[in-house]
Amino acid sequence: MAVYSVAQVTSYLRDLLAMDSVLRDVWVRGEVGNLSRPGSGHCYFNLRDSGTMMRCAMFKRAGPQGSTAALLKEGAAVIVHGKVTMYEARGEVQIVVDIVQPEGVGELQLKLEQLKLKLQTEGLFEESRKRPFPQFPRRIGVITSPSGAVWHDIQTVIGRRYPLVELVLAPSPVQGDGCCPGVVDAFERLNEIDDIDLVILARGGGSLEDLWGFNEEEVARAIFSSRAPVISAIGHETDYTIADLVADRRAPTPSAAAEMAVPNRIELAQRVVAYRNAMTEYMTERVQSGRDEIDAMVPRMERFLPDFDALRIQIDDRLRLAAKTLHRDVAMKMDRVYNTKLRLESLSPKDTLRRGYAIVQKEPGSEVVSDASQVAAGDSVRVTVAAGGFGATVAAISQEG
Amino acid sequence: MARARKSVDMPESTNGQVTFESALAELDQVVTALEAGALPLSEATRLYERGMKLARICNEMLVAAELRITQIQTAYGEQMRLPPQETEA
Repeated sequence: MAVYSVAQVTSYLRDLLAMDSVLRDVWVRGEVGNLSRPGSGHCYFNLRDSGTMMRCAMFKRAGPQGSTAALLKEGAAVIVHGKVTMYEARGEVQIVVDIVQPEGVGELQLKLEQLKLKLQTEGLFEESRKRPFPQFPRRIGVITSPSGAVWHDIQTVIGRRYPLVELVLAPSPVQGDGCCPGVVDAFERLNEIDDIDLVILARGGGSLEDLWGFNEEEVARAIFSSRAPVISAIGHETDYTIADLVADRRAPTPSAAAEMAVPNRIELAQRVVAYRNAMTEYMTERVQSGRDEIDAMVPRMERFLPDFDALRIQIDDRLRLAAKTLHRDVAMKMDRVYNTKLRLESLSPKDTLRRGYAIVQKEPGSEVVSDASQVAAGDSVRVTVAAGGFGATVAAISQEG
Repeated sequence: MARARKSVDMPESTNGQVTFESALAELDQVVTALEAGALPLSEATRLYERGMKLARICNEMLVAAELRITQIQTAYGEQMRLPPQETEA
C-alpha cells in the first residue's frame, strides 16, 4: 500500500485536469458571487447555480477579451470560458477564466469570442504590429463587391481628394458563402502585385450573420499576411468584426476608409502655395539684404579713394611751372640764335670787301687764289669786289708778296 | 521612398520619373535650405528657381491627375458584373 504526500496528490490532480480535453477548453454557465477585484487587476469570484459552486479566477489581460471582465457583476448571469485547474496551495479546483459573456448570447457569438481570444493570444491584434500607411500611396488595392455602393463611394472620395493614384479592384463577394474564400483569394492576388501601397477591405453594414465572413479565421489570417497595410471598413460603426481587429486601421465606413487612405489635394495645393510664398519672401529679403550690404560698403570704399582735389591742384601747379620753365627756355634760345646771327654776320667777307679787298678765283665758284703760284701769266681769273666783279688776265707773277 | 516603377498617369509635367511625392519632398528640402539661410546669393537663386519649378510641377500634378481604375482577376470575381462605366479603362 502506497502512502502519498499532499503535494503528490495535488500535482497528480493538476496533471489529470490539464490533460482532459473537455476541462481544458470549457464554457460554463452560472451566476457571479463573492466577486473581488484586488489592486492587481485580476478578478476572483464564485460561479454558482442552485446548490453548487466553483471558484473562478480571471487574470488581467489586454485586448477585447480582457474587456469582457467588465461583465462580471455580483449576481450577474454569465457564461464563462476557460480551463479547469488545480490550485494546489489551497487544494481547490478552480476555473481560470479568459472570456466572459452575458447569459443568453447565441452559440455563434460564443464561437466568435473564442476565436477572438485565440487570435489575440497569437498576437494578431497587437498594436505593435499595426503598420504605418504611406503618406502618398500610388496603388491602392480595394477588396469589395464591384456592384455595391461601397465601390462607388470609394472611387468618388479618392477621385475627389487625391486622384494621383491607381485603384486596383480585387472583386470579391462580401456576404454569403463566397465571402470568406473570395476575400482570402483577393488578398492573395494583391500580394502578387509588388507595388500595392495599401489595401482597403470594405463592406456596407449588415447583421452579424451578413458580416460573418469577416469573422472567419481564414479572413483574419489573410489580412494578417497582407504585404500592404490594410484599412478595414466593415459593418456599422459599433460592431467590430475580427477583420477590423486584425486590420492595421479600422474605418467606421467605406468612405471614411477612402479618406484615411489618401491625402487631400486641396491641403497639398495650399502647402505648395505656402512653400512658394515662403520662397518668394525669402528671396525678396535676400536681395534686399544684398542691396543693404552694398549700400553699407560704399562709404567704406570711398575712404580708400585718393583725394582728387589735391591731385588736381598738384597737377595745375606742375603745369604752370612747366609752362614757365618752357617760356624761359625758349626766350634764352631765341637770344642765343640772335647773337649767333650777329657773329656770323661779322665773319662774312662782305665787310672786308667793302674796305677795298677783292677775292680772286680762277673761275667763279672755284677755290680762292691766295698764293701767286696758283696762277700763271696769261690765266683768266675772276675778281669779286664789294659791289660786283669782273674778269681779268694775269699779267705777270711776282713771287714776293 | 524610391520605387522603381514609373507612375504612368503623371502628364508632361514630369521628365520621366518625377512623382508627386518626390517633387513635394524636394520642394520641402529647397524651402528648408532657403530658410536656413547663409547661402550665397547665386546658390539661393538657383534653389529658388528650382523650388518654383517644383511648385509648378506639384500643382500641375494635383490639378491634372485623373483617377485610374484597374481590375484584377480573382477566383470569385467573375460572378460579379461591373457596371459598364466602371470597367477597366
